[in-house]
Formats: sequence, structure tokens, C-alpha cells
Amino acid sequence: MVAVFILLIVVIAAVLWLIGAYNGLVQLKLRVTNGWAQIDVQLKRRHDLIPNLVETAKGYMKFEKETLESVIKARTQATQATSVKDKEGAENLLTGALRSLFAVSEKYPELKANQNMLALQEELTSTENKIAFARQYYNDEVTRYNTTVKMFPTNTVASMFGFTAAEFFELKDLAEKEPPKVSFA
Amino acid sequence: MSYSFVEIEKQKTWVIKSVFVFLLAFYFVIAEILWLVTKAFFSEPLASGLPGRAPLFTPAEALLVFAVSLLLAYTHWYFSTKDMISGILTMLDAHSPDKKDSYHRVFKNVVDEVSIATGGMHIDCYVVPVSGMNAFAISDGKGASVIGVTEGLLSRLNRSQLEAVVGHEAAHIASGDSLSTTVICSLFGIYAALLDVVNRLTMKDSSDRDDYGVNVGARFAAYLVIVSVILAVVKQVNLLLNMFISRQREYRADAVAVRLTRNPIALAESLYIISKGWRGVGAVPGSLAPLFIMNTDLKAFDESDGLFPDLFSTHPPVRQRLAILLGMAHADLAGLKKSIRPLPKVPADTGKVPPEDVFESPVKDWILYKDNSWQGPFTMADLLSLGIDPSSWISNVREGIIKHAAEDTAVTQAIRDRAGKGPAGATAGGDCPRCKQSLAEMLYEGAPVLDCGFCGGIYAKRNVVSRVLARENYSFSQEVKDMADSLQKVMWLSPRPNHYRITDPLDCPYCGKKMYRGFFSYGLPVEIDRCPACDSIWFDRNELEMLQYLIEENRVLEIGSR
Repeated sequence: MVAVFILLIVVIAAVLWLIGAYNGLVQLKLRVTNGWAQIDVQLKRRHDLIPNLVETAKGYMKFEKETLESVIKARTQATQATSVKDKEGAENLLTGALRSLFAVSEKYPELKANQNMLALQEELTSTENKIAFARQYYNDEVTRYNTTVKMFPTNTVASMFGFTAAEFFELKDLAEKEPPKVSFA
Repeated sequence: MSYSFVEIEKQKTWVIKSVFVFLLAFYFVIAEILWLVTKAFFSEPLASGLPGRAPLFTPAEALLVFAVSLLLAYTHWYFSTKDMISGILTMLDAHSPDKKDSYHRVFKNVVDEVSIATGGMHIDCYVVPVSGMNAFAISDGKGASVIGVTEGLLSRLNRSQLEAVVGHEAAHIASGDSLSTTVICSLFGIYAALLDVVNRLTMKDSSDRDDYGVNVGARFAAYLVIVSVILAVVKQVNLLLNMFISRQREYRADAVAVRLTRNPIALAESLYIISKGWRGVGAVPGSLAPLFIMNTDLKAFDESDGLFPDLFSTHPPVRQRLAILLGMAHADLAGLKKSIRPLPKVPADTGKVPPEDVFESPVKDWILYKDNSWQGPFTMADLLSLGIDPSSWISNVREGIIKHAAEDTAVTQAIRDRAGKGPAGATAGGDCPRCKQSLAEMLYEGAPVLDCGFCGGIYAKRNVVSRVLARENYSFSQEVKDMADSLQKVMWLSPRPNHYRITDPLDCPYCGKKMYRGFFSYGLPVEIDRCPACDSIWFDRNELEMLQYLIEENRVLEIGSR
């Protein structure tokens, strides 16, 4: 009788723990999804700003067609990427193209003084920062989620209900110092 | 490390509750004392000598006093926490950021960025138009929170430093300690407001009944007594309530700010810059000081250690905060001082205000009849670059109406803009009082002003002027500097009266009334024209620049002498 009673308690405790672990995983996963949604919103904002930036720069940078075109191309690629890994590559490419655009724009003092350009540049900087912060938040949440998914004993629950580890999102920083690529071809 | 910002927000309510208990106890003691005094004066046993047999108070009386004090404490609590945020913002004279102002836009962006770093907490932002450097955070229990900074802070910190400061304030909000600070400050706000009311009433009464000399004197004496009593109470309660505002919360907020922005050096730099500069926030009651990143007055008390300052001071010593932050970044103070550079300056000039839709993608909805065929769709910019003139046939695909370019207001405006005539904001203000040309809205030191393209005059509201004067992004020509210096020299040699009649006062571009000409102030003897009705100022060419130059010179002296 006592043995049955103890067994019952153990089973109830196990079930309660299972429910708790499962709910914890769901909550963590939701945070990860939410973090990714935030990144996506900001990436979209970035893509929206670029045509205007190019449009403004066009009038002043008549001889930098190549630079402007590479920005547009990189943007198109970035808008078409879907998976986390693809986005990572495309966004890094776009960052590189933007960096060389800003480096080249240094040569055009009139463009630099243009208030529209300044406003766009500020907005783009802000969006870059937002992406960086959203990425920071996302990666923090992914770390927490992945730790729970991989650590014993929650990993058993995770594999039972099909929770798989989430991917980190790595991006280059626009402000990172890198010598601009200048071609004399 | 494993807490989310939303979770810890809920853990701080005990501070609020104990503040209420404190308030209740405070009122209970006061009411009890009053009751005892009243009893001592008017009850029977006392009239025949000492209190004697009757107990000081019965349980029933104590209960009654308790009920009264509960009512008082609740009323006080209710009225001071009803509208905390707007109350404090009004007291600080804080305003929402101006969308057109480039500094304000940066600030708004930075707040949005930090809010993303916290995982999407909603934060409103406000600006206090003073040139001191400080920042504050307030929040109420209903989930609204505000981060505010002064104009001086916006103009003298770079982007990452500003981000660090906003991160610090966001940390206060996220950890919930800004809620308790806000409640405590609001509890005093009511005293300050009361004092204000008493002040205003007394002032008004005494001026109304000037002829009743005795009456005024008596009232003044009574007023002095009341005011001093209130002040004394406020001061003591203030000191006691500061116990609830721990010094530690500033260290904690610094640490969380670093966690958010991952940039301890930027925070250390901004703390250093703020501590070296003038941090006053206008006529702020001292009781609001706990809200700010650094105490609004420089006090030796804040900068010392020990049990007593730890208990009653609301801000920890700056050097300790710096030491902790520098430790995180493996840097030292000497290196920090060296790395702080003044922000770059550009020559004073005006620039066009960016249009509202500058961030929206251009829509391709225009088609154009060219070379005997309809072409398109184009964006507005494409349309212009194709070389249209007012007689070109165009159509907007959304409207589906074919018309001449001249018939469409948007296209006409775009053509005009391209030609450099009448920029977008031209209709916003009236005509230049000197040359009668229409004024255009332009950015000057990042602030939207009305500018005359012909004579270089500038017309601006007073609050915009105070923004411009707080900023130091522009450098000035030698001509402007020489003129300003000689103005000041002449003023020192032979002071002149400020207001004098001039034969031909200018008309205000806004309301058309005559403006008054006079010095900006006695310390800054630049002559300007003011319109008191519109609360605006007209600056002739170079006048604003001279004023900025003189103010900046004075400011350098002030900080350097410390």
C-alpha cells in the first residue's frame, strides 16, 4: 500500500515536472521567435531606406555608378533571402556595399552637407543599431533556449516534443573600420 | 543574467508599499501630536492642573486618529500619484521632441534602439530645453515610462555616449526603481505645488489690496509662518524618504546599461562629461533630484562615503561609478580623459528641412506622354529627371485622370522645388520684415527656423532659440567673432539702457504687429527684435551667430574655471 502511494507521488511529480519543462521550452521558443520577428522588421526597414539613399546620392555621385549599382544589387539579394543563414550572407554583402558607398561619399562635400542625405544617413545608422540590438536580444534568447534544449534533463523533453536548437544570427557591423575598396579600373 | 526585463519589473512593489506605510505613519504621528495638543489645551483635567488621572488617549481615540491619518495619507497618495508623469514633466518644463529637429530625431532614434535592446519595452521620450547636462527616467504603475534629457546633453554627447545614458535610464525603468523614485518625487511634488498656490494667492492678494497696509503686513507674516512650516516639513520628510532611494540603484543601472549597450567606455565618458559640466535643469525643486542620472546640484555630500551618506544621499560618488565602469573595460581615468574629444564643428549655415516622406520608398505611380506614347510607371523623381515641363501630359495611375503637369499641385511643387524656388516650408511663415520676401523653413543648428534667403535674417520661436543657444555644433567666422567681441567691449565701457525707441520698428512676420528692439540680455548685448505676442525673435544677419558665439565663450570660461 505504502509502495503504491509512493509510486503515485513519484508519477505525479514526474508529470508535473514534465508539464513545467514543456511550458518552459514553449515560452523560451516564443521569445526566440519574437526576437527574430524584431530583427526581420528592422531588416525590412533597412531595405526600404536604401532606394531613397541611392536616389539622393545619385544626383551628386554621377561618376560612381558602379558603387550605387552594387548597393542596389545587394539590396535585391537581401530582400529575396529567406532562411537565417541566407539572410546572414546577403545582409553582410549589403553592409559591405553600403560601407563603400559611405566611404566614396566622403569625396562629395555637397552630398555630405545635404540635409536629406544627413537625415537618411541618421535613419540608416539608427536602423543598423536597431538590427544590432535586436540581434543581441535574439542571440541572448537563442543561447537560453539552446541551453535548455541541450541540457540534461530537459533535453529528453525537448527531443520528445521535437524542440530543436535555434540558429544564431551573426552580422558585420557597418561602423567597423575597414579600408574602402577603391578600384582604378 | 537569466532574468528578463519584464519579469523584474514586478518585484519592486514592496518599496512602493513601504513608502505608503511610511506616509501613513508620518500622518499618524502628526495627527496624534495635534490631537494631544488640542486635548491638552481644551480638556477638563488640564484646566484644573496636570493631566492627572485621565490617560493621554484611549484606544477609541487612537483608532479615530488612525482613521483620519489613513484618510489623509490616502488622499495625499491619490492626488500625487494620479497623474505622476504629466505632473513631473510639467514641473520640469519638458516637451516632446520636435520631429523636424535633427538633434531631437537622433534622440528619438536612440531611445527606440535601446528599447529594442530591452526586448521591446515601450518608452516615450522628452526634452528639457535648458543648456545644463542631465537625464531622467520616470514611470507610473500603469506601464507608461518616459526618458528625458536636457538640450545641453543632446548637444554635447556623441551618439554612443547618448546611447549609454539612455541605456542607464532604460535600466532604471526596466528594473522598476524608477517607479518608486517617481512615486516618492510625486509625493513631494504636491508640497511644491501647494507652495506654488500659496505663493500665487498671496502675491495676488497683496497686490490687489495695496492700500490696506496693515492687512498686507499681517498676511505677509502669516504667510511667512505657513511657508516656513511647510518648507521645514518638506525638508525633513524629503531627507527621510531618500532612505527608500538607494544609492545602489545607480550602480545597478550603470551595470544594466552596460549589459544593454555593451559599451562601458561610452557610459564612463558621458558620466565624466556630465560631472565636469553644468548639470542644472532650470528651476527644478530639489526634491526631484533623485530622478536624474546625476544630482542637479554639485554636493560634497554625494561625493562622500560612509553610513550617513549611504543612507540619505541618492547618488553615489562619481569617481566610484567611473572606477567600476573603467574596470569593466580595463581602462584608466587618464586614458578616458585623453579619449574624450570635443565634437567636430562645421561653419554656420542653414540647410533645407528634409521632407516628411524622406524615409518612405518612392511609389512608381506616374505615367508620362512622351515621344508619342505613354511611358512609365515612374516615381516623382524619375518624372522630373525625364525633363517634364508644366505643359507635359501626365497621369497618376491611382487617379486615372490625364492632365497637364501644371494642373497637379504635387507635381507643380516638385518642379518648383527642383528649380530652387519656394522650398517646401515657404508657406509656413510670413514675409521677411526687411526685404518682404517669403521666409523658408530651414534647419539652423539642427533646429527648424524661418530663414530669409536674401538678407540672411532668421525668425524663430523662443523655445527654438533656446535650443539653438544650447548647441555648439557651428564654428563662426572671424568677422562674427570680432563684431561680437567689440559689442561686449562697448557694453562694458558705456552701458546703455536696454529698451529705447527706434523710429521704424519691424513688423512681426507672424502676426504683423510691431516688434520691440533691445538687447537679448544685459550680459549678451546683441540687439534683436522680439514679438511678445508670438513669443518669437527676429535676428538680422549675424545676430544669432554673435549671440551663440558670446554664450559659448562664457560657457567655456565657466567649465574651465572649475
